[in-house]
Amino acid sequence: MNIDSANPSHNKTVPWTLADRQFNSRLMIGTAQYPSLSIMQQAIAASDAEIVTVSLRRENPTELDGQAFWQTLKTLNKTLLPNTAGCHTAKEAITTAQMARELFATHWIKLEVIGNDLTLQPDPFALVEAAGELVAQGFEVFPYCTDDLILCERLQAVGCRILMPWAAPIGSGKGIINPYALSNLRAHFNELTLIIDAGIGKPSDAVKALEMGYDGILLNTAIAKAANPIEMASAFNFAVAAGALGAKAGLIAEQAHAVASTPVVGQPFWHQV
Amino acid sequence: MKPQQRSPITVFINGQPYPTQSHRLSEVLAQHAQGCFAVAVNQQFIAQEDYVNVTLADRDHIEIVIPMQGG
Repeated sequence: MNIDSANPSHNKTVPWTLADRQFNSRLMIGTAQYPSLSIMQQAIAASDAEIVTVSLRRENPTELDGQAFWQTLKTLNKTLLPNTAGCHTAKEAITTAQMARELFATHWIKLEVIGNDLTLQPDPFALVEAAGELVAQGFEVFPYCTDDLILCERLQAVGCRILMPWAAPIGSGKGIINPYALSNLRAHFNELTLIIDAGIGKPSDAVKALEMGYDGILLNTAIAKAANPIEMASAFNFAVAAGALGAKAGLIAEQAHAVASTPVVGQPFWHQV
Repeated sequence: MKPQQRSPITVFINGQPYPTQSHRLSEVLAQHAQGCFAVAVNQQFIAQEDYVNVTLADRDHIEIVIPMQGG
């Protein structure tokens, strides 16, 4: 086995366009919940992700965690995708997005408007309201949404070019709980960029999502909370590359019954029984 | 000429009450924020270049946020 060919970063990625920018890795990775900033850094490096998600929180003058994180983040030289995590209203999300735009010097925003604290399910009505306003203000909105087709249509109608449906509730690690709905979304929005956000638990979940034709994966917990986040980041790196390459190569159609793969012509004893 | 005495006000910084003689946002931030941060007053985003133009009123709520880990 050629070592280079085993590394997804060596000519095995399937480059893609996201919001008019070119990327190689289809894995987007969160920066929360790691055991330490050092492990976060190493995991991000192992993932080969080019885009990392960040957030903003109230400053606490007695704690310097945030500024230390910021200094670390700057050394990574990654594209930043700030989120509006924790917002429960369109107003909160819009203001948070505006603060994030200034803080991180980007017009990209991962829009989260939570409607239920048990499931962390987005509030679809507030999400559409906030998305429309932010698009009007020049943001590139990455809406965290469910797999509801009508909601996704509304988000497209207000100007979203990217949709980020969940596979399962945030942090649940349940994987793709409704492949039927996600397949329908992919078929319906063939012109939009679709990224699975939330609920991914295993590298095989990521492979499956990419094989379904999804453009990318955004995850955090499955890597950060793994027993070895650095190795898991590497595993997801391979998984996403494998899924994207598999989808590009063209999956065979599933058959109802067995189809022999070895030619029977010339087989010894053929037709003698 | 005697400088004009400003009436004290109480503003809330990240939810905590803070009595101050300063009525200008930029003056309050100079005492409370450092490094990389962004600001909203009463849930309205205030751009950095506008800090000096914002006059605070009693019981205004100031949010000061900094970069943080996120998923």
